Amino acid sequence: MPSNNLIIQEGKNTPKVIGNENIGELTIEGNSYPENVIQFYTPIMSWVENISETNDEIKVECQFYYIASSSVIAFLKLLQKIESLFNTKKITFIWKYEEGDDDIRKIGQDYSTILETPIDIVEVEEV
Amino acid sequence: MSKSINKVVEVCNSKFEEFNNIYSQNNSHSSIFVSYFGELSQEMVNDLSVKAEDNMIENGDNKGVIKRLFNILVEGLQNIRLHGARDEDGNQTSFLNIAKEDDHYKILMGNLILNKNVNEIAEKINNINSSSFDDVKKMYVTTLTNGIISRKGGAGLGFITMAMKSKNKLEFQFNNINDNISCFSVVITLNRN
Repeated sequence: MPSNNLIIQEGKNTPKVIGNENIGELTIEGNSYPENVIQFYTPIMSWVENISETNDEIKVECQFYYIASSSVIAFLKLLQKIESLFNTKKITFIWKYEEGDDDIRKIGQDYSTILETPIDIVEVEEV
Repeated sequence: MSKSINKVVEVCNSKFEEFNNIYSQNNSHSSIFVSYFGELSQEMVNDLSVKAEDNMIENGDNKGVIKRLFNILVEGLQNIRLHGARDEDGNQTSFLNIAKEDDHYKILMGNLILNKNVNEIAEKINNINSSSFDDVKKMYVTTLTNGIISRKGGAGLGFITMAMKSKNKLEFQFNNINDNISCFSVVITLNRN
């Protein structure tokens, strides 16, 4: 069976995205401020939909350095999509932020007030 | 160039120059370090934002201030590209100026707007300006929760985000060009500490 992995290289204003079907893990890291968020996030949505047919569990780990408001909404929609496809107990959301970056930390907190799944908000050392 | 196009450039340029004059080198405490007048491509949005960021690193600003200015720029410039009106020749005239003062930055952004949309935008910004920081934050979370992304890719969070990042009022103005369009400009203050 062909593997259904997702690899999107980091762009000027888009993050690096790796989706591993075998372990049901999606990692996103970098900046996100594309002008057309729908275009960028749609393939990730589709990948999540596809793997929900074969996987029970999913882990999403992300670290944004800079994220524009339209991407904040698009990413929330992705997380909501995941909640609609997987059992809440089988979802792990990890939101990383650079030490001292209150703005990114607060976005994670905003998400946790909107979503049902708890979000693990983790401070990481500055690179 | 038709007469009405001249008027577009004349009105927009006068706002642009007005800002230049206030923050020009005549004043030893301020300097303009990013300046642009014309049509913005997506590439220009990236380049101008990165140029501003590089300059601020050189100025020795802290990471938080640099990220907030970057944020304001991306929101503002994407707003211009998504919503800026065009003149009758199809030009999406717009402008940007960033001035550095001792303790704050001033960012001027401007674009064309259809006269029929002036009241709606004025109401939106007045509403943000007259709200407390906590209320603006509530507006942000409500808009986020509703989560509507338009066909163009906008999310309705541009001005709210700019206000939250700057923590100051958005000073805006409309200058009439003709029966159809006006020049919309906004000045944002970002403290450096």
